[in-house]
Amino acid sequence: MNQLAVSNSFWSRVSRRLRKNHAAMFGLVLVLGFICAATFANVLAHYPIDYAEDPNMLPSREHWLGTDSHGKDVLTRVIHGSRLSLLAGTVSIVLAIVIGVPLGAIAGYSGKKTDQLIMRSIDVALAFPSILIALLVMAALNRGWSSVIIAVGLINIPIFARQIRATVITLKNQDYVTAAIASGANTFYVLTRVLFPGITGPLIVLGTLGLGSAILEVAGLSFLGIGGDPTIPEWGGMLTEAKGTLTTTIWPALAPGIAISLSILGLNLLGDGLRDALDPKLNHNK
Amino acid sequence: MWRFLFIRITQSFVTILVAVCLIFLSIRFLPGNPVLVRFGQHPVPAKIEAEMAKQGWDKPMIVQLGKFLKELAQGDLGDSFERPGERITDQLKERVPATIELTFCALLLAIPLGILTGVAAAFWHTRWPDYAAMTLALIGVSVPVFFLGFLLMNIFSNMPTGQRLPAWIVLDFKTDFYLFESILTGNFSMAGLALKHICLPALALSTIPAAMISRITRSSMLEVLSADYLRTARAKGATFFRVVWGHALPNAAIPITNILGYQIGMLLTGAVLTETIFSWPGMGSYLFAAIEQRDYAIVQGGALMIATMFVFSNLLLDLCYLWLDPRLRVEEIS
Amino acid sequence: MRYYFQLRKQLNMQIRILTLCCLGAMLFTLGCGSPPAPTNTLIYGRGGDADGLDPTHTDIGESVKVIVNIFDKLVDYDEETLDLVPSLALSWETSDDGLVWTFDLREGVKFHDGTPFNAEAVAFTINRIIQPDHPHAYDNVIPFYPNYEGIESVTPIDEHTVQFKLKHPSATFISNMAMFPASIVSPTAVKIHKEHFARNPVGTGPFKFEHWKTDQQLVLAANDNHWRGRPTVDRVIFIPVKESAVRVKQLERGEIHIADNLPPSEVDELAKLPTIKIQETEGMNVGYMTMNMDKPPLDNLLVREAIWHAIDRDRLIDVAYSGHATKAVSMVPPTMWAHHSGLADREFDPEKSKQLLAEAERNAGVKLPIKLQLFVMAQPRPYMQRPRQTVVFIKDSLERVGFDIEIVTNDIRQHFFRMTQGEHQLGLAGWSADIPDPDNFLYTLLDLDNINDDGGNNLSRYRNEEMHDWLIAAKSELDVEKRKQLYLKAQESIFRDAPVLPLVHTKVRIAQRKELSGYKLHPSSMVRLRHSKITP
Repeated sequence: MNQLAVSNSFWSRVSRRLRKNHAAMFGLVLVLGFICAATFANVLAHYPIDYAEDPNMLPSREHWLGTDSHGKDVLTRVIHGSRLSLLAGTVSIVLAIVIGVPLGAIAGYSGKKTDQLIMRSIDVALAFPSILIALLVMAALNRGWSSVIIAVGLINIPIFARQIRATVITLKNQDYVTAAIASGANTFYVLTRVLFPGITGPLIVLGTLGLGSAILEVAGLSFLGIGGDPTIPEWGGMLTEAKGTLTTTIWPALAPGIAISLSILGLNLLGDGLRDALDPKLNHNK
Repeated sequence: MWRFLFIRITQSFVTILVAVCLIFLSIRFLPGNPVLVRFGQHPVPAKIEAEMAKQGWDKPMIVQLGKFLKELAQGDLGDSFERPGERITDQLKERVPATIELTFCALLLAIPLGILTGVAAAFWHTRWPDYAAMTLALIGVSVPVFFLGFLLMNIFSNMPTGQRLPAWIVLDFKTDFYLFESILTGNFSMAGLALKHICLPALALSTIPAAMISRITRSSMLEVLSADYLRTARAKGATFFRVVWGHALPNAAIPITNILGYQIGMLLTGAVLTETIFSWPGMGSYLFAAIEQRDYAIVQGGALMIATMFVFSNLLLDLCYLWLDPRLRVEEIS
Repeated sequence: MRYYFQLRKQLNMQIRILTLCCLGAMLFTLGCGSPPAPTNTLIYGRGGDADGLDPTHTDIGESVKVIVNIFDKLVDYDEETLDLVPSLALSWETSDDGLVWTFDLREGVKFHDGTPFNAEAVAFTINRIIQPDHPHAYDNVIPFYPNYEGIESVTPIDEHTVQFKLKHPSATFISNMAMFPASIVSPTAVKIHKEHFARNPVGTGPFKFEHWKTDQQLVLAANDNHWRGRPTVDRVIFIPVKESAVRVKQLERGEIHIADNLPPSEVDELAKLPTIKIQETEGMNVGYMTMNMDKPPLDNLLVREAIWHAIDRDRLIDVAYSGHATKAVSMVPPTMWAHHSGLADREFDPEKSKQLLAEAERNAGVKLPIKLQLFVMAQPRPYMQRPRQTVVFIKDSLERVGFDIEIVTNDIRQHFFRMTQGEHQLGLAGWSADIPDPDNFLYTLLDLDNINDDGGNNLSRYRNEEMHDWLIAAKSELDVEKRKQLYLKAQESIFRDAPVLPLVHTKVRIAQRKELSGYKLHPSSMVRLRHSKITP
């Protein structure tokens, strides 16, 4: 981190600006908190994951958030739940980037027919609510967490492709890019070496915000009952399960709901902060 | 101008057509037998084949697609697989109004709420109303619709949910826009009931657009409030209200329209979840149930409907945008 | 600058009007009162909507709830017990060989559309089920055909006498005539509406169909001319609300009079409210786990016994049924006359389970841990009220003794279809009685006749020739005591071979407002609303 800061003054300026932004730092703390929870879930959680006692207990000293309808400790499950949510979110966003970014870059760089073709297909994809596409993908594949990840990855492709295309179009007209093209560099070289560094900034921002919406989509699908193995703790699924016992205890529903909200809040704050830090001239507020 | 319009509309139609063909074909690649939805725990092989033949599912795909498009041109989307005798077109006539009313009410809540908080935040920039409004906006985009819906239902547990009107009212309306129709026919007590029922789902659905609008209003107001002509206006003695209402707000209209366009897709997505949680009998819950039960006849019809709604509302917004911003008219022509 | 002024002019007015409208609408909402609710309408809140209302072409519980109120059958159950009493038939007699049944029909009964009820209508109704190419059967789906295929012919003797000829003597024939698919339909209406009869049903029952908006409401009105007399309530409205949490709230607020299919713990909480009454009856059902004997190592009795010993069903009942279920040992529910109460359960004993698996490893070369797929349905059923809780509990239990379980969730219909094809290894399943007869459990669920890739309900693929002979003999045996002995023997051999793990027999419970009286939950779980009364 430090080496990077020394070697690259742009990134050091960015990180300085980021550190001054309290909201973004708060977001970073939240995100790091969830990453810690996911990594050290076995240490942090009081109980093993399949340990069960009496169902629907109210919060007590032994079970800080009570137990759920399986008799499992709610806090333990919420902590373990961060694993799947973060993992599924990250993998699906990586999937979306791997496919979406090249698509967007090619569309933006080549223009004309290729651009038209790619953008029109994206229009078609965007004509359906994303959750619908995810549902159809889930209907085609066997139910399971890997299918959820693929579904969420797929619905995020158009979003990345669109944004990257816009960025590439702006960059293409910049002098240094024109110079590179004029000096006879081939397309692949221009895309990967000349344009890519310019895309990194927007990509980081988009990735952070996209991770938030991916976590939301994973939770949403599993809330609708289309998740994978229910023994693996997952926030959306926990919320669904808890609906049946609401009048007895509210915590099994409240805890995962708050966890989803906080993780998305953290990622949103961090994403906004990153955007401001990367491009201080503009007061982005979308 | 007209050429642009023409191209835009043709594009919309092509998008819908391609989208529908894609859905139609991809459904036929899904594993699992589509007519099974009817047979449940009592499947009989010979009858299943007879049913497949009756639905035309045994013919080559291209023939099926042709038949589907032909019937579509006549405004017929076929019958549901799961519920015998149920015409999908009739169902859509009942479902689409429910979704439109819900989306409309959500926007009706979101737009004024977003604008008011945005204006307040900009005016008291970096003071507590700003922080409060922006915190609210952040929470608005971060709390998932399904969790919010769940919270609302439990906090306002005396508000009616689960239906569009109280259960004892026999629904004999002329259209399926219960709310709009009862307002228009002057049946205000009925309209009141309808509003009460739509309140919570609309509120749950409105948070994300409200938050977005609030943030965009704030930032464009901040830009405008520091502009020269406003300083002039204020120097000339215009009141604050007049400055905001007459000068600043109209300028924020364009970015707001822009964000609305972007939000429509999100609203329709949100509607799937919101309608499911609140048991709202709209398009979203209809389509979700159909996918769950693999009632493919409904899936293709419903997907067509949603794609059409989405594409055309975007088209409409494009036109609004064009109307709001005269500069664009010139640019598009050239 | 000029552009700005232009814009301002255009926008000012529109935005102002719009904003004022919004504010106006908001204030308006707050100021509205609500008109009083009509007092004599019964509102029934349930978890889903009907699919179609043609008795011949459906097997969906939510449809049946409506159908039994619109139609009558020749015979019916007593108000409170499972005894058969006359309904549209006044009396009936059997020939000595049990092959000919003659029904004497009630006179002066009319369908809701004015068509007179007569022997022709009965023949028309039954022929729609049993004749393969009946011109007025518009739908390929006849779920209960197997129950009626034993009928050779139906002949009207005169206007009010009808004769049934059977292919072989049948102990279940008369019970089948009391089941809803044998509801007598108006021939005129079927001929008019054709496949849309499912949405325009016409019967002779206590309520007539008024209108139906899918997923919104289904309205029935009292039949003034019902032969039993007019029902007390004017209207019945069925409303489907998928979320059980919403149904609970609606019942609390008094928006609905009855809520069924609620999660057990929610019913317990509702019971504490002064305005709510809970009704409960022992259901005729069984929730079980099938073990597919065609898939090794489940062909090994030791493995199946190990599974049986690994699961603490008493605890499962606490976790997934909030204690409101009875532990099952036999597939036949205890409320049924042929239930075998003398079977000694394989007690919960994880150590025993591990020993059995170790033995299987030694003797049969079974490799541990045993990897198995466990199929589960996505939607709750009366016998499996919380499938998710159940499946998680079973997975945890089995993994503790040396299994490695993968859960496969499917929509309920796909779930059963894939299991009838034998795709599963373990699977959660269940059965609610169509008719109160042990044949409906033992023959349907475990006989070798019912193994095939197209819908046999013997999901475990249990093949027992000896038991098959008993079950076939019992089908045409008319002496109840002899039948009972055959069924007891069958239950013993099923217990010995353990092709299934019976989990629970559940109780059927509904919550209702205290304003509602006269509606009693029936042991057959039929929802007959004709005696309900609302006292505000």
